[in-house]
Amino acid sequence: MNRKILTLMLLLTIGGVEADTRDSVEQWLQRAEAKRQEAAQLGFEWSYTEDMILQAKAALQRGDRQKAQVLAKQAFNQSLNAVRQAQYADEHWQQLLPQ
Amino acid sequence: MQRYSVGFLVVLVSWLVSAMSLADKGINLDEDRNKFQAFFMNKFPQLNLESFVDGVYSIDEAAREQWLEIEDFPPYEFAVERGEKLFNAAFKNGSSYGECFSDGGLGIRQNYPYFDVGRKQVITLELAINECRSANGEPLFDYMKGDIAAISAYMASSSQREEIQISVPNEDALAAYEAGKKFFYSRRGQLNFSCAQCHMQNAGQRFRAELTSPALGHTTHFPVYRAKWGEVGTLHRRYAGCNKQVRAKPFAAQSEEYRNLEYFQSVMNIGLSINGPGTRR
Repeated sequence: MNRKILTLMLLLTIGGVEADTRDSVEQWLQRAEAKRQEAAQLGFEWSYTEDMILQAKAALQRGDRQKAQVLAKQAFNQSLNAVRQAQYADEHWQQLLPQ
Repeated sequence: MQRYSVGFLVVLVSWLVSAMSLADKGINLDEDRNKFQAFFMNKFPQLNLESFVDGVYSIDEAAREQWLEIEDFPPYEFAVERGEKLFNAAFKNGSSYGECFSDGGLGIRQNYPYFDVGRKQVITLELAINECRSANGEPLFDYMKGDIAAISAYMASSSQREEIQISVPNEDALAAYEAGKKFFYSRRGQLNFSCAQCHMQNAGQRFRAELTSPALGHTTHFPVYRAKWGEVGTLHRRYAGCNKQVRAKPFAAQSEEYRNLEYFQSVMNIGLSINGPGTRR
């Protein structure tokens, strides 16, 4: 009896993790794409971000959720840094002007 | 005679108003350019201003010797010949490139890019070539290489030793100039480099096996035959390559961003002369 309960709990836990992972990948992909578009609008998109998002989508389609999530997070972080770079450039670009 | 005098007065007054307006904004283009050029003259005191048209070969003696030997039989020669044929060939409607440009399109490279006051945008030579084709019902060329680079090379070759003549006629032009300037000095890409960091601060330093060229003189020798490309390509192709090297997503050739950048760089090169097409590694 105890073994059955334990097995059921284990299955539920795995199922829960699986569902959470799937949701997170989709959320990360959405975040990454939105941030990439923001960086692109500012004219500061980095060169590999879009490919990274495409690779993440391909990994998700193959069922490799872990890889998809890693790539989506990387793409989001790249775009976040690109947006920060644009903001920094806006405030500091004149520092490099010859005096 | 009186009509011409009135016309002259109108032009003079509008020029004065424009100049005063730019001055009101605290932007003195001559001062901008003088500081830019002085930066390089101080960094490379062995060079005179005109030497910078030779790009990296003005500061790398060993590479210069090889380059001069290459220039004896320049690899862009085929592109120039092809460009001449294309330039002189009539369109299907009987018109030709020469009819789209002043002075028949020859000896005019030094006037490009210019700011079109009516359209409120920078017009580069390559854009004008394609607009000429479009106006005559011909399909557009790719902006990076091939026929457009060949025609541009031929037009540049007819303008050698002509001093660059670029103006910033009004506030819209100034905005384009400022956008190009901001682009030039802004860090971008995953490597976080600006044009200025490579081609001003680190000009003459080695990045792996290559010396970085001084930004002063960058636009004078395009289009260029690059050994890496194995063919002649346009300035905007090079811009895209630079952006990729710092892992920034490049803009499209003839995008507003690159046209404004070319405009800014060309204003910085006033005082230098056209020596394109060129050869680079």
